[in-house]
Amino acid sequence: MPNSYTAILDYDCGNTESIQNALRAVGQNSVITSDKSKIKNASSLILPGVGAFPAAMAKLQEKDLVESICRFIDSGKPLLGICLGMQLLMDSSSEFEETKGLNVINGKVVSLKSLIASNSNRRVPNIGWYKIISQDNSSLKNLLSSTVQDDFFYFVHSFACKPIWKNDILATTEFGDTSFCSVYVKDNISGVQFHPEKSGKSGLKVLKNFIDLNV
Amino acid sequence: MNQENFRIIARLDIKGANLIKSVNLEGLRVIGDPNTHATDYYKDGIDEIIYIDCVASLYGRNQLVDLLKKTVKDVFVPITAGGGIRTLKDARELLRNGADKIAINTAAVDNPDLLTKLAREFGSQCVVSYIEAKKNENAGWEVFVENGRQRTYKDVLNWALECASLGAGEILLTSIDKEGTSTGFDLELCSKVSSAIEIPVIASGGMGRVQDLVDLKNSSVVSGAAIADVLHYKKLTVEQIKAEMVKNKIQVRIYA
Repeated sequence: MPNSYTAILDYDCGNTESIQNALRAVGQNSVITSDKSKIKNASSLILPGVGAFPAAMAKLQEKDLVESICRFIDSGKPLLGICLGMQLLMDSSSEFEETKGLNVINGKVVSLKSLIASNSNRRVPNIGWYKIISQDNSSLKNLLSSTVQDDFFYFVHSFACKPIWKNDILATTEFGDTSFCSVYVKDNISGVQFHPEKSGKSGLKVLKNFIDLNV
Repeated sequence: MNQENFRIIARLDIKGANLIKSVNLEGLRVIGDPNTHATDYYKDGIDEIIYIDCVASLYGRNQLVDLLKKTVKDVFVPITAGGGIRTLKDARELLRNGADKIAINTAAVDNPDLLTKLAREFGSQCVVSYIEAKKNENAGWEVFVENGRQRTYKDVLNWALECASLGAGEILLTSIDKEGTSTGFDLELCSKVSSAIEIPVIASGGMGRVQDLVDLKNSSVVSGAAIADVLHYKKLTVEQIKAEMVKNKIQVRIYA
């Protein structure tokens, strides 16, 4: 076990190996785990997520991981939610049926369809490469440091987070005649709707920034 | 209004450990090592990779896992895996080893309920309905399975609609008539299917030159194209294709 490592939460709902490979590419040790002490001792935690919200929440509960996530957050160490992982940290989601989330970021997860006009030129699921527009003008070191406005990120989703507090929104992405929250940050908790592990060099930069957050 | 960025996707058909190429889904020919090709396309700015195991469905085997494990070490773009997926367990194994989406053809036709189960478990966005279409004598298209070997008497348009309502998040639409011919996409097929359904449609089969992509994009609302020969035989690079698309005012992701 390396001294400093990122724990990638293993709950049967994520492309964990891809995230591990991407972390390796930026020089970070990681373990794919659902072991409580390994989660607790990690220097950072990634909550991946591929799948449907209700099934993923059920898995987290079944594997008794909710408390581990909450304790990790309380420790002040960095946590990154990716795609569905980002959504799970919200209060609730309306995917299939209204389901409670981890209640960490205030707001709901809503369907992209509900955000756009019925005659929109955009399809759902939203699949493909899009830019993000940073809402943060400060020069603070953050998740998006050194990403430029020309970077594209890979999205594949039918739902998106709608944080209540504007301050939590770090970046948005245009979608037809509207936009959705593509990155949020609140204290040590961040979430990205895109897949940094699948977004080429641009995504690797974001993962590197995440790793550097607690250095 | 913010537009969709057209996706350029490399399609790699796999048999055993080899990247192969066929014409009209028949007459397989070995090209080389799939992982080497996938890695080159990634470096050149490909938007996605599709691996289809051509014989998995026939033999019930799946060698994709080993290939995926290798590819995801160096390739950081989405990978769709297909061929021989029959159960939630099959799908989970591929997703766990690096696939981002799974493409289902034969098993969905045999058991349409599988699409719904997969969508419930993994989310619609990672369920791709892979449709093999062959023009019939009634000016329509028929669904084929088993890599173009077996007819189903199903109408492609109806089946595409059914797949979307069952929970598929994307359609990978292959024209058997055009596949491997380098004579352009089946524009009528792509136009009809992409305007009939709301989920993204990826066109496959027939790409020979960049103008074929331009014609495709200008005549239908497909979200991307899966291309094989022109890349595998190094007739064009991803960069050349995208530069030409931009000249034709088609929005694509530019890889810095």
